Formats: sequence, structure tokens, C-alpha cells
Amino acid sequence: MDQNTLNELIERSKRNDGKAFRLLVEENRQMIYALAFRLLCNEEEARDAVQETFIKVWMNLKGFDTNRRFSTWVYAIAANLCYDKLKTNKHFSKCLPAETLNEVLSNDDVEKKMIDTELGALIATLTDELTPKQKLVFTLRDLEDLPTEEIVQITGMTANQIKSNLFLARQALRTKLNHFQDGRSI
Amino acid sequence: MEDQFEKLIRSVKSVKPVLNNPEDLTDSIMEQIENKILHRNSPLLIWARIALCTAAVLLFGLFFFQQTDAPDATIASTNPKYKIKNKIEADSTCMQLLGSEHLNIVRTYLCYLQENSIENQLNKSYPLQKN
Repeated sequence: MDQNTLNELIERSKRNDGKAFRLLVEENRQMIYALAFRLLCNEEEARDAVQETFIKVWMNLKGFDTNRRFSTWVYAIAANLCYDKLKTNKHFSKCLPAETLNEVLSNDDVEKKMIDTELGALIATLTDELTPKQKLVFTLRDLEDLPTEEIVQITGMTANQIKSNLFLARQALRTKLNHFQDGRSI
Repeated sequence: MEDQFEKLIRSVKSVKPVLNNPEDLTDSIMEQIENKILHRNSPLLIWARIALCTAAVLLFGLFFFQQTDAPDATIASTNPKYKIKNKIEADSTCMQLLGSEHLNIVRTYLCYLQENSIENQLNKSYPLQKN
């Protein structure tokens, strides 16, 4: 979708045009779901997060500054919503079968076979000891591949805070992987 | 180990979570939003709420005013406003005729004014009688 069309849809949505807003939802829902799923590691919770995100977007659309990138703004709403959920709830931490992780580490083609449930379990197993902040930064930087500047905009953290949280998250994950390699379960 | 870690991240990254039944989710979002449009488009309802709230506050205030307007003995002895009222009640034959202790100040005052006007007429006529 080009910028002009996007701006037009945003303007129409601001004037309560439901059809225009539906197109915005259709355009961004998959991206938001992917982020929510990677953070919450659960399909139902991720779907709820997508729904809540777009309702918040709708409610706050009149205050949206069109000089900003719409996707970043929606991303920020979704990330903060998931972050709040991570802080308040204790999320499930389904124990990942050792074979699945072995498969991931040994087979180059595994990504094509993995289904959402396994992916959720894998991410949950890897990241369940991270703090919500570390998990958010790790997901945005390493899994979603966002540049630091965009993460600053999304999370409101400083670049240094992002760096330190990312460092700690990676260190914790490496330690976990080491334990697994040493024969202990993760 | 570095390779294993990078490989794991790459694997996780390469699997994009897929949203099942995206149309159902969109419909559900739009349904909720349509309800919000209805709420957002009813200024009449907002004004009705404001008017009703204001009326309730005013009525409550009036009720409170009328209740506190009947002074107790201590207030009546110290507050000049109530001293005047007591004087009016004591002086007024009109009040005795009406015979109620719980009349409000407006009625009392009207009574007092009526008495005064009679007195004024008498005073006006007095010099004429004298002459």
C-alpha cells in the first residue's frame, strides 16, 4: 500500500469511515499478530492482543500525527499492550520437548516444518526467564529485526537501555542453551 | 556455541506466526468498533447526561438548602441571618395565623413584606388623620 492511499485511509477513518479502517486492519493485522505471538507465545492471547490493539488505534486515531509512520505507531501500541500483559500475567511456559530443540539445531530445513504451537513453545521455553523488558527488546531487535531507532520510538527507552537489556537477554539465552548442551533440560 | 545460538535465532526468526481465520478476527474488531462509532455519534445522549446530572445536583442543593434553612437554637443565636428571620417570625402576626414552624424563608419574607406594606399605608394615612 503506497503512502498516499494509506494517508487517505487514515483520514477517512478519522471521519468514522468503518470501511477505510477495515482496510487498515487488513493491511496490518498479520504484522501485529506476529509480534503479539512472539511476545505472548500463545495464539488466543495474541489474537486478543491484535483485537485490543486495533480498538486502541481506532480510539486514538484522531490524535495520530500523519508525519509519523503509521505502522510504527500501531506497532508501538501493540508492543506496549503486550508488555503490560507480560508484566501482569504469568504466561504459560509449555515445556519444549528436547527433540524439537534438537531438530531446530540440527536440521537446516526445520523452519518449514514448525507449526505455531511448537514455535510458541520454543520461544516461551527460551525466553521465560527474561524480564518483560528484556523479552520485548529481544523480540523487537532479534526476532522482528527492527533498527534501534525504531525500538526507541516504540518502547520509549533510551538507546543505552535497549543495548543493556538486549545484552542481558542474549546472555541469558546463551546460558540456557549451554545448559541444554550440557545435557540438562531447559 | 555462538553458531548454535545464531542458528536458533535464525530458525525462530524464519518461522512467521500465521494468523488463522484472519477475516473472523477482522469482523470481530469491526463489530466492536461499530459499537464505538454509535457511542461516539450520540452527542444528544451526552447532552442529556450532562443536563440530568446538573438537574440532579441542583435539586440536591435545593433540598440541602431547605433542610439547613431551619436553624437550630445555637445557630439562630449567633448567625445574623437567622436573627432577622427569628425577628420576622416573632413579629409577624401573619406567621401566627399560618401556624407552621417549618415555613421556608421565602414565604416568611413575603409575609413580612405584606405586613410592612400595611404598616406603611397606616403611617402614610396617620399624618392625614392628625391634620
